[in-house]
This record gives sequence, C-alpha cells and structure tokens, in this order.
Amino acid sequence: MKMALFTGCIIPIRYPGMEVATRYLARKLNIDLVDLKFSCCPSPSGLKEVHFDAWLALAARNLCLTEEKGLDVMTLCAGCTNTLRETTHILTGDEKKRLFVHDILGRHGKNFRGSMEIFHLADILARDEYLDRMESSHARPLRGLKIGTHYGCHYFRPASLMASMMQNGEFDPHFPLPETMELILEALGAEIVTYNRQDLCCGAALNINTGMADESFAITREKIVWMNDAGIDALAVACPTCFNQFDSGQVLLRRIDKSVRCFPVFHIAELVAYALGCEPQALNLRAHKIPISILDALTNA
Amino acid sequence: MDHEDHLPQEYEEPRIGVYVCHCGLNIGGSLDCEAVAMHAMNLDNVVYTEHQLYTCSEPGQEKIKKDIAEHNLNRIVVAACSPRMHEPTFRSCIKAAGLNQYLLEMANIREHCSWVHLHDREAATEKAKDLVRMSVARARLLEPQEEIDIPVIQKALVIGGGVAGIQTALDLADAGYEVNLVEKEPSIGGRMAQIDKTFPTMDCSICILAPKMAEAGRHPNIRLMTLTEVTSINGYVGNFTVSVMHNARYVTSDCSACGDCSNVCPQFAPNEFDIGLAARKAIYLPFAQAVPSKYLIDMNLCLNKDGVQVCEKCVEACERKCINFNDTRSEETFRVGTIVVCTGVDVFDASEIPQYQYRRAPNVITSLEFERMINAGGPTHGHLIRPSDHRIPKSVAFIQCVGSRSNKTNPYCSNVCCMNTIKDSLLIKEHWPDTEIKVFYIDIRAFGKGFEDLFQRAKRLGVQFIRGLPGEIVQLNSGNLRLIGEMTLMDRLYNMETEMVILSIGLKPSIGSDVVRKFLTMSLTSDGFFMVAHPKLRPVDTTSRGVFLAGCAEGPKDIKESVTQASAAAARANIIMNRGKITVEAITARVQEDLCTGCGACTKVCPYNAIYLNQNKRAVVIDAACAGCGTCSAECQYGAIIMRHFTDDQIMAQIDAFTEHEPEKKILAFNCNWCSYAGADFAGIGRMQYSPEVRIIRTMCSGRVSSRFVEYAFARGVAMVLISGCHIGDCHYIDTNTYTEKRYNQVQKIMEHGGLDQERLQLVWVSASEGQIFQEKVNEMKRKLKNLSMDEIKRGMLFFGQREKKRQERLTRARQKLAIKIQA
Amino acid sequence: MSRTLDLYDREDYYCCLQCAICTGSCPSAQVVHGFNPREFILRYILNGEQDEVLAMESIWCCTTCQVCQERCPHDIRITGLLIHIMNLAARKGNLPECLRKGIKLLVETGWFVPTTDRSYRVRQGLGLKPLKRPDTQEISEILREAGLDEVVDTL
Repeated sequence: MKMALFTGCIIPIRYPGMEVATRYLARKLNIDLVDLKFSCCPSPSGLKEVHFDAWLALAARNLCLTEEKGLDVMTLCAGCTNTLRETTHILTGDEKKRLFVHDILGRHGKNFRGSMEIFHLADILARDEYLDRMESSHARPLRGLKIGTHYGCHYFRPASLMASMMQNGEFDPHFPLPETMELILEALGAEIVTYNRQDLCCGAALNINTGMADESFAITREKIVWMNDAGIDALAVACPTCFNQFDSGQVLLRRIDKSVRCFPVFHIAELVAYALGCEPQALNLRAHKIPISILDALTNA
Repeated sequence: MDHEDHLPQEYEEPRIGVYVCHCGLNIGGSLDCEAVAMHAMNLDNVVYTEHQLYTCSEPGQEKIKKDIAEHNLNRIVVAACSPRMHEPTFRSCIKAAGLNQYLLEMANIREHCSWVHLHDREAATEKAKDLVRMSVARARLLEPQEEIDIPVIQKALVIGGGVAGIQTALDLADAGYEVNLVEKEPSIGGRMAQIDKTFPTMDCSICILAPKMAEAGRHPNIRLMTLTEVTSINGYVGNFTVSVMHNARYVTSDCSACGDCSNVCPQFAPNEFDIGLAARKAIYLPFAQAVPSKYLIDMNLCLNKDGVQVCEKCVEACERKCINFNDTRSEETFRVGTIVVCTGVDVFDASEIPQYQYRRAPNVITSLEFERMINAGGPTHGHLIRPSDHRIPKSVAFIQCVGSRSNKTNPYCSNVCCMNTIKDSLLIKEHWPDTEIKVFYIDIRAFGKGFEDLFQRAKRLGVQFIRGLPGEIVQLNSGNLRLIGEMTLMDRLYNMETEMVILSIGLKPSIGSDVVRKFLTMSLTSDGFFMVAHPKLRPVDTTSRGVFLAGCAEGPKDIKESVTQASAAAARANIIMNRGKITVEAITARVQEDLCTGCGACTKVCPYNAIYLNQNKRAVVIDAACAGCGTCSAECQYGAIIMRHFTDDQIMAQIDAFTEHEPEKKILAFNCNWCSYAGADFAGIGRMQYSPEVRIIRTMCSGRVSSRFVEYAFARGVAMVLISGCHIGDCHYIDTNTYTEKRYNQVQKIMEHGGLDQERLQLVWVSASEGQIFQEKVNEMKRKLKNLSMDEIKRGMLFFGQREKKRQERLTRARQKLAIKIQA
Repeated sequence: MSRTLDLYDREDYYCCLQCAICTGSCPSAQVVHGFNPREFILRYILNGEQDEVLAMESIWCCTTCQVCQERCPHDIRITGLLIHIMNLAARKGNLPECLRKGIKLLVETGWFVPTTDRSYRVRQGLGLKPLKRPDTQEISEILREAGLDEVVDTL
C-alpha cells in the first residue's frame, strides 16, 4: 500500500511528534508513505472564507501533485481531508469552476482530473486488514484506558461528502458520527466512552480567524465539561488544531477552576504508534501541555 | 367487455355550419371575425356560416339549433373560446337539435389566437382562418359516437378499517350496498383507537369510535375481514375482481374474549398498540375495545412453531376450546363494483433525528406514546410518567415539526401536530396543573373550527409557546434533558432543562398502501400520499374511475376531515353503483381485427390494462377500462387501432388543412387536453403574447402523437413541430407521456441520420398553469424559424416524403400478408 | 464576485422557515452575541440588508463546522452563505487582522503557520527530515491568478 502523505502545515511545524508517530506506524503496518511538495491544504476555515477561488486553486494544485504520481492521499488532519475532498467534488461536478481552475493550473503545467482518493489516517487504519494487525500486535495494548474520541467537524461534515469513504459509503442518519477511531482504539484494547455533545465543534477556528480566544475556549470548555462528566481518561482527536484547542483549553480552564480534572489529549497517530511499540520520547509526547502520565500508568499496570 | 361495433353509417355528405364568435371584443377586437366567416364559406362542405357576438348565449345557441333544422346541417364548427370552456355547452346545444353530440368541433380562436396576438390583427386573422380550416377538415371526418352503458356490481370494497374506512363502510351499508371491509390488523380502529382525546372537543376518542366500530362489526351489510390483506385487484369500474389473503388467527370465532388463555401464556412481547410501552402475550387481544373482540396468536412469538407443539397452556385454559393451532391462511376472491381506499398513516420514526435522542434518552417520548400513557386504559393507567424513574415530571417540553416540514424527513406539514400538542398540554394541565409546559414551535397552525379557542385556552393555563426549535437535546445523568436553541422572537439563546420531552412526530403514508397502489395504478403526489383526480373539484376521486380515496391515505388530516372524506367517498361510490349501470366514455380505442398482426406492442403501453391479446392473438379493447389516451394507437405500426373521435385521418386532415398555404412559415404544435392545451389556454387567459406561427392540434394525451404525424407534417413542409404534454409523473393517463418522449427521441435520431436540423422538432412539458413556458417556447421557436432556409425545408419534405411512401408500401404488404393468412 | 454564490442555489435560501435549528446548534452563537446564522439569512437574503451585514465584524466568527447546514430542515447551505458573505466582506475591507496576517504568511511561505528556529530544531532532534518550503513562487502566482489580490497583496 503506497500513499502520498499529506501532513498539512501544523503537524510538521508545531507537532512533529505526530509526524514521527505516523511514519512509525506506517513502517510497522507496511504502508509506504511518499512525501511530495505540498503546501498548506489550504484550511477550510481561513483562506476559504477570505477568497474561495484562491482556496480552490491552491487545493487543486496540491491534488495535481499527487495525481501526477498516481497516488491516493493520506491526511493527518480533519481540515486537510475536508478541503481536498470538497475540492475534488467541486471540480469534478461544476464545469465553470473546473475551467476556471484548469486555466490557472495549465499555466503552471498542471492538469487536474480528480482521479485520486483522499483518506484520513483513521479511515485507512479502520480497515479490517489493519485492525487485525493492530489487534494482534501486543507491544503496548491500551487495556484499561477509558478513551473518548473527538473527530473534529471537518472530518465528518458534510455527511454527503465525508461519509462516502468511511462507514462503507453508506450514511445512516441514525448515526451521524463516524466510528473509525473507535474501531482502531478498540482493536488496541482501549475502552470507548461516549459523552454528550460529541459532535460539537472544538471552537478553534473562532480564535484563529478573529483572535477571540476567550469565546473560542468557552466552546471548548463546554466539551471538556461533558467529557469529564462521562469520566474519560484520555481524548483521541483526528486533527492537530482540535488537539491544540483541547490541550491548551484545559490549561486555561484549570486557571479559572483549579478543581477541574484534566485528561491528556492524543492525536490518533500517537496512540497507534505508542501501542505498536514506539517509545514515548521518540514521539515527543513531552510537547503535550497536559501530561501524558496515564500512558505510563498503563504500561506499568 | 368489447364494444359492439355499430353498423357503418350510411355515408352522408357533410353539411357543415361554421359559427365565428366575436365574444364581445375578446375576439372581435383583435381579429376580423367577419373575414374568417367569409373565408369559411369558401371551404368544401361548408353550407352555412355566420359570425355572432356571443355564440354561447341563449340566442346564439337557439340560432344554431334553428340553422341545423333549416339548413339541414349535420356538422357544426364553432370558432370561439377554448373547447375546455364551452365544448359541453355546444354539445348539449346540438344534441337538443337532434344531432349526435360528437358532431361538434371547436376552433380555439380566443385563448389560442385573439388573446395571444393582441397587436397583430392581420396575422391573428390569418391564423384564425387556418384554425377554422383545420376544424372544418376535422368536422368532415367526425362520426356520431354512442356512449354505452355497462352493468355495475352493487357491492363495494373498503380497504382499511380506521375511522375513514369504518365511516365509508357504514354509509354504504346503510345505503343498502354489500360492503367488504378489509383490514390487515387483527382489529379495526386504526390510529383513532390509540388516541386518548380528540381536539377541539376533548372527547374521549375510543368512546366515540367504539360504537361505530361495533356497528361496523355487526352491520348486516358489512362483511368485516380483519387480519386480511388485499393480494390482487383486476378489472375496471363496476367490475373489479379482488383477491384477499386471510391470515391465520389460530383462534376460532367461538372466542368470548375472556382472557384466560392470555393469563397463562408464558411468552411476552412489546405490545404494538401501546407502541411497545407495555407487554402482551403471544396469545392476545389487540386492545380492550377490539372489533372483532377475539384473541389471536402471534406465531412468531408462540413456542409452538412449525407444527411442533411444546406448550398447551392456552388450550388447557380455554373453556370454549377455541384455540386452533392448525389454522392456516386462506385466499378468497370476490367481485365488487367500487373500491374505497382508506389505508391511513404510520408515524415518523424519530430516531432518524439522532440529535433529539429518541431511543437514546428514556425520557424523550413521541406524541403517540404520550397518547397511550395519558389514556386511562393505557400502560401507565393514565399517568404521565418518566420512563427512567416512573416519576411524574414537573416540567415537560413539546417539540413540534419532528419529521415534518423538512427535506430530510417529510417535506409536508402533518396537519394535526400543532392541535394535538395543544390538546396534550391541556390534558397535562388538567391532571397536574403545576407542571411547567413549554412548546417549541416554528408556526402554530390552529386553522379549523374551534382550534383557535383551544389554543387560547392552553395559553391562558400558562402553557408557554417558544418560537425556535432546539438544535439538540442533551441527556443529563438525572434523566433530565437540556434543550439548546434560540428564541427567535427575542433574539435570545436558551439552554433549558426539562424533565421530559415529547416529540410531536409527523405522519407518513402507511406501508400497506404501497401494495394497494400497484394494483390500482394509483398515482402519488410529491408528498408520497395518494393523488386525487382534482385537488379542488374531485377531492375523493382517484384517476381510476370507480376507485375512491378517504382519510389520511390522501394526506395527513384530523378525524373530522377523515370522516367528511369518508362520507364523500361513499356518496361518490353510490353514484356509480346506484343505477346498477354506468355510461362509458365514447372516446375509446377500437381494434380493426383484420389489420392486427398480434404483435402486442399496444398491450405493453396501456396503463389501464385495457387492451389485451385474445386467444386468436388479436388485440381486444375493454371499453369500460379504456381511458382514451390513444397511446396504443400511436404505438401500433400497422394502423390497426382507431381512436374514436380522434382518428389518425382527422389529425392528418388537420395537418393537410393548414399546410395548404406557406407551411414553411408555420409551427405545428400537439397539445394534450389535460395539461399543455390547458397551459396554452392559461397563456391566453394571462394575455401572454407570442408569435402567431403556431397551429395547435389537440389530442387527449401527448402519447397519442405518433411519429407518423410528425414525419407527415415535415413531409408537408412544416417549418417546425412542437410536441407538448404533461410533465413526467403528472400524466393524466399515468405514464403514457413517457412514450411520447421515446418517440420524440426516435424521430430526433431519424432527423440526425437524414442530415436535418434537429432543432426543428422540440418537446416541452407544460402543466396547466405553465402558460409562460408555452409562450417562451413558441417565441424561442420563432427565433429559430427565422433562420431556417427554404433548402432545409425542402430537404425535410423530400426525406420524410420518401419515408411516408416507404411506410405506405410496407403497410400495404403487411395487410396483404394478413389478408392471405385470414383467408387461409 | 458571483463566482462563489454560483455554487449555491439562491432560491433555497428563501425557503428558510426561521426555525432556528441552525442557531440552536451553532457553537459560535453560544459564545458570541452578534453571531446568529438564522439572523444572517433573515437580514442578508430575506430582508435584503446586504450592506449592513457585510460591514459586521461578527460574521467572521463562523468556524465552518457545518452543523447548521447538516441539520437544516430545508438543506439550506448556510455555511456556504456565510462563506460567501465573508468573501464579499473581505473585498470591502472587512477582514480581521489575524486572518490577513495568516494569508500573507501563506502567500510568502506556502504555509498558514509560522516556522521558528525551534520547529527546525525539534524536527532535527526527532530524526525527521528538515522542513522544505514548497514552491512559493508558483503558489503565490496561482493565488494571484485566482484573484487573491482583491483582498490581500500577493506580491
């Protein structure tokens, strides 16, 4: 299995440990990752809100890079997945848009056809072949870890676009949330805990766009309260932006209310790499603001 | 049943009278009526013409009658308004004068001419002359038609035993007809039996329903068949053959409903009547007031399966020995004259909206579950309690429009939910006046008699109405719920905690109706409910004659409306059955047996199964079932099917008539009687102006338009042809317009092969209200016409002329072959 | 500028029942008083108050989480409308400074996040390949050709 790795900007620059995790687990699971000269995806909140056409053109450029090599894309961020999938969808469906982007890309020797598929890491790992492999690896099972998941809105909305590649392409209105991370974590031995308002946004974009940090973290706080109410030990996310929001968010929350219980936050890649045997130091887990000591507790148990 | 062919009339020379109406200034103001009348005088077979101010007026009509006698007229052409307006008027007029009413033809020189060409008197006059010429050409070929009577079985079938079915059955039974009332559940009663109180009267629902149920059960004219489903329906109005399947009850009619069996049965299952809020046994009575009051066994639950008897507890307990494990399903067939469909509704499954937590949070229930709870005979003996802890809630929130008014669930409004919630809130306040009640809504619809009063009553008791549905419901550990949303009238957000949530769920068509629909070829409207013949003027008739509709099968409605419709349907059915016979349309298809090759193409396209191949492999038409669309005739490659009153010859004659002069400047349009002709009329009524090149030929259905007509028109040098009909899915004859489209595509391909300009042939769907679409299409085609070269026209004439010649040769050969075969 | 709204069927917006499920579900509406999706539809589309809305700063509070769009009973592309409004507003100079900075960074570096010496060091320490800039020349040209100059200087 060979794929182009789309790291996005945040992980390589701010959380390189997640990149290490990804490369580690890819090696362990025999996934061949190819690095191409991608730019920022660009983010689905950010450039898209400021200049839609520029967003579309830049995203198409990224897709051309991978199409030239004939490789499907694996992303590590909910936002990147959303941008790349939506761009493919728009440009294969809307003739006017396609021509518009075609002209621009043509001048740079690129031609977009929209033939490659885009998957998030979690989508890939939730496939049976990888679940089996993860289940049978006994390096560091996450047994006893009560974990909740937060996908990040861009991972599963809009359902018409994003569910197609998860859940076998059948969107069931009874279950609006994906279950890829749940499958992975259960294969790794963890216990899944659900909590109220699981599909609520983390609120990060509010801060990124407007600088309204207090309001942004107020949204995050709502989620953290419900997570604590359900009694989770740790949170798994699929997006580095969400990661930062929960990691930093709990620090801010604790400043207001010292009694609040904090739990560590992990990108799904980190958990998988850890469970498959990667050393915590190699994963740079010290970069997390909320200590990840719970993992040590697991190993020792 | 075949139509007896009349002996051919002695050929009489047509003596046509032409009347050109001014219609005040409506026609006379835009074109020269006198010139049109004068022009008509010069046409063959026209012996009398006149132009009048108001032909439809009494003096106008009297004049026609007088002229028929005086001038020995035997065909009448009235050039005036749309035949959709006054055809019946003039038909009655000439009938009174002793002529067969089908010897009338109207030229539409108002809606299709004077009103749409207000500013071009010369062109309008020339067009009117053409239209009259076409009408005269048709009139020459008109033949008298007879409407015949067929016998009608004076028995009815009512499908569905809810309040609508019960009411219809009672009305028909009281009128003296034998009624077969078929209900798939073990008891009649439907949804109304499940409701506690009705609005706005606050009557006890089952109390007012039970007497009707009992009467239906014992009425000498009603044959009540429960646990029975319709398996097939064949036939036509007055003569339906119905097959039903009686499912096994496993309990005989000796059952006295004592209940001893149920007490000892070891098996439990959720009770459907109580929506799973209570349990029943494998042997059970559906509900206390069930009619028939007989137990039944759910064999899926019973321990005795596949003939193996392991448990005999009920048999032992039953004193009357009425349990029969050897009961089997049985089929039965009977015949009726009319059918009334009352298949009712099911409710929306609220778990399709996961953010409202139905089935995830125990204290979120639906309005139907509420009905069962608040009902004294229900699973909680009339107490509204929270399923999580069985406490009575101190606060309750109703959420409206759950599963209604949404593209995601059901797009329509379910009609009853607002009033139902208002009624429910009054019930709660009645028992527990201190309970805080909030109703979250988008609109409150309290439109009926007494509804607004009930709404005011609820508000006076302190029920709070908050405009703004919650985005989501969050479940708390206490079992309480948080509603998060916005009060739109206050521009304020809310995050309210409540002890219980009641989702006001929408209604959807019952699943069983799908089965019935297929047998009766009933159409559905876009909301998934059954379509009626006309939403305003024929609200309980379906498009199939003899089949009627009542109750929620037609759309969500309250009990009063259901009962009203039920009585209306009974009255309509009575009209059919009362005389023991009915008159059948004269406009039906007729097969010329000696020309039929038995290819069966006609049988494939008839939506009414009105044409079939007999044992001699000849097509035969069932007149009573034939609706007269003409599609079979258009499909027939051998010209063996004649459409009475809309024959091929008549249509060709109309084409010949207007192509005598400058056909290359004209557009021929085929419009169907029900939609596009009405649409063109609508354009006239709206004075939507368009270019005067178009000449409309009316057919009953666009499916009547055979490719031969189109090719013939091009062979005659017509510049462009427009085929128009009802939108796909709206065809008056169910789906025959799909064949129109097929034929259009075929001719397009032929034109492509012939190197002709394919844009000369166009297809457009126009509904009766889409006058603008017709107007725009004609104007668009005129623009195209301007650029057509004479060369293109001539090439078309040559190409299609040759095809017509070849076609004639082929037909002659085929007929010769047939003739030889027949002789042999 | 109709180019963004081309993607969205304008007629749908008129079907809005003002049910407020969108605002009820919106994370930003909970924390920012001036941000209300239902009200944006009401004012921008139904009331035609386009200039007023385009001048509001609070429109930038949309996180594009799309929960409003997903739950709307009429499938109205609410997020799409917000994106359109923000696009138009940006061209009129209504653009928050942090976004402007972020986009300038994108034009200059091809990334939306600033790099620091520390980023390079940590990567090296973890044994990862050094960060390689994407083709910023090509990127800024593409952005310019797509029209980004209407909002942000791409040179």
